[in-house]
Amino acid sequence: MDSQTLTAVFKRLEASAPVVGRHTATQRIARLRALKKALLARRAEALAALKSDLNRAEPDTDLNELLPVTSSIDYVVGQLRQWMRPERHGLPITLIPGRAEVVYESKGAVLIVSPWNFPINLCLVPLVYAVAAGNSVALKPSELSPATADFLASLIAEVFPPEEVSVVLGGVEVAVGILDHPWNHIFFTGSPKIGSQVMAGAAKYLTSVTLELGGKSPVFLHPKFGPEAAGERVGWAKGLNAGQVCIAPDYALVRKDQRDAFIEGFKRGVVKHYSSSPSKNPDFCRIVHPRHWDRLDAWFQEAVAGGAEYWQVDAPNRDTCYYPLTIVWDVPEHMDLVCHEIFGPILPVKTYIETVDGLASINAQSRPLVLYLLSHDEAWSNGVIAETRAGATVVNDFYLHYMHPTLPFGGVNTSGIGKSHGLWGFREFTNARSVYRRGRWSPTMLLAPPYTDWKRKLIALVAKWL
Amino acid sequence: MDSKSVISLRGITRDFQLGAQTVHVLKGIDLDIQKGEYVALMGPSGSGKSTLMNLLGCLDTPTGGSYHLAGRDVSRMDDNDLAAVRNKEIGFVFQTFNLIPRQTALQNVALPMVYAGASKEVRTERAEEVLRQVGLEDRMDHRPNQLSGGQRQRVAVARALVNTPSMILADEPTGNLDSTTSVEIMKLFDDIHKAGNTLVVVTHEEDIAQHAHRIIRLRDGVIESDTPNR
Repeated sequence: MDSQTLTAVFKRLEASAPVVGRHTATQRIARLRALKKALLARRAEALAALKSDLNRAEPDTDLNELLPVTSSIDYVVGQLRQWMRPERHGLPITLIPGRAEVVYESKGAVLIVSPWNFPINLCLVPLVYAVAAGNSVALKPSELSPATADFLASLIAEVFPPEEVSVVLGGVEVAVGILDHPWNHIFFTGSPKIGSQVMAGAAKYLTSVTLELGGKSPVFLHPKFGPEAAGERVGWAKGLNAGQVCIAPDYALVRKDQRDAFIEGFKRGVVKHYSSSPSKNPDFCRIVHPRHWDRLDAWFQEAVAGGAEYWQVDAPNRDTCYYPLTIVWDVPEHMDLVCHEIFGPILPVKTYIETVDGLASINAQSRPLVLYLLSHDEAWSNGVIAETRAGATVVNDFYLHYMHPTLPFGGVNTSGIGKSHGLWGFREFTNARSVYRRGRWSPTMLLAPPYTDWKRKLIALVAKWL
Repeated sequence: MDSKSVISLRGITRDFQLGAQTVHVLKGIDLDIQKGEYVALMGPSGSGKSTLMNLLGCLDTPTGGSYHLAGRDVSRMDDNDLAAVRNKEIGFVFQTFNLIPRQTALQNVALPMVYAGASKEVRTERAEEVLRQVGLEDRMDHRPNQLSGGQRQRVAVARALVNTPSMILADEPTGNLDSTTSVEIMKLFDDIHKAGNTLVVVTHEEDIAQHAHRIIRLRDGVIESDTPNR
């Protein structure tokens, strides 16, 4: 798509935004239901697209792509009338007589830029909230999952007229081109590095942003949890989508004496859930692009050359973009595996002696999207939660906060700005507009200049007592 | 028990439950380490070396036998008491240094004293003293990424020394360092030993162990040999 086409897309959506903003709850619900119906009717195409892009197993696509979209639609449809209703607020004495309310109005023309790792989920779930909030929307799916991007373009064209929702396809230049317009809101899911560029681009027009980013999400293991059981669970969690999940556990923080048992548990968990040769397992995901495969392997090789030890379930294969589940320990602290979000199936293990050392190590990193705790000691978990900052915390499981319909989903600082899901997701795409109404008579005039003696006395009284 | 012993182990056993099976990892260890000794602990993988190190470091407690550290029986203590003993009596040195990246060398070294409840003046004074001792007087305000690998390990050694522990417990302290830097760090260990500290270095490298004055070798959960090395 050239820059003229992109400008035309923006102009079209901008022009239709006031009309779309006037859509009633019934009209918005009808569109969301149509989206759900079309998505389910074309499920086979969705499964095939994900298989082609990521070698994604069908049950994984059902659970992690389609279900989040359909369940979001069901939830939003049930709540939308309530969410759209103006919110009445009481009055302080100085504002009586009058009426105050907050109106949640659409932002206007919004842009959603989505990534390749969950290409349907992370494109359509924000769309559900954007449409619920009454916006016209441009969707820019990732070019790294091309089959899914084509599927999305065709699906959206079937459900929405182009002046309500348009899909723009293409690579980096298209992303840069479509960003460079005065959108009323930009919702971006991706890496902190690109997120920073998106925010800089938005700053030019003072466009508000939601940034769903990532970072190094730790798993902090309590010494009494049981290191083998913990390792086994982390082995499963790290394998989901081959670790290419923004909320994947990035590294484990294990008490020094339990490290070897944790490593054994990890090995067992990997073999149990993905077999001893996942390269031959048709359900195990591939790395999205050779570029990412090279990055992962370079980080791993750097750590090994620097003295780290490791275990890999089987051999990497660049030709098939397969990277095995890998656990590494004794990684020198300045290396890429320890400093950057891994976004792949490699788990570094760090050790601590006292809980406070573990806390210091977590707090020394950027604030994570998720801090996972494995602990049966509630006081310990509460202490860790109080002493750290993270977008979310899950205790004794992985990923599930994402599935909760009313919990806000998002990061903090480098792991993200703004929240999505539920009411939070709806409000992210709306402008909370304050409306205050006076009646026919306004007492404000009693206090307006010129300040005669009695007005001065009145103002002094108001300032003192009200 | 010898009254001068920092460490005194008697009949130490440690079993692990592996499903229905009980694995006897340590099968009866008797060991005394005197104040001021410099000991290397060696052994192949599976010898029980790591398990013994975890017991010595008060991270784990034995299944049977007794462990006296600086005169106190620590073999039956609960977690809170063990944590207090670790903070007071043991200075840990890790293979991966485990420094906090955003804090200066001085802040990293002072950290264990924060947990010990020392005032800021005392902390700073003592942290400066140990950083001088490890030869980093002109690097106190540097962060870890502004230091070389050898300098980072010096910071870690200074941090281990800051609470004047009864014992320094170093686990493969040169594992992430090149050979020249390893020699430099072992020279530092020689110096802190000469200053009167008790050192236990866990290593699998023979030339690192040769710096110690006593070498203990483990095999199959028992002490295979315990020989002076002067």
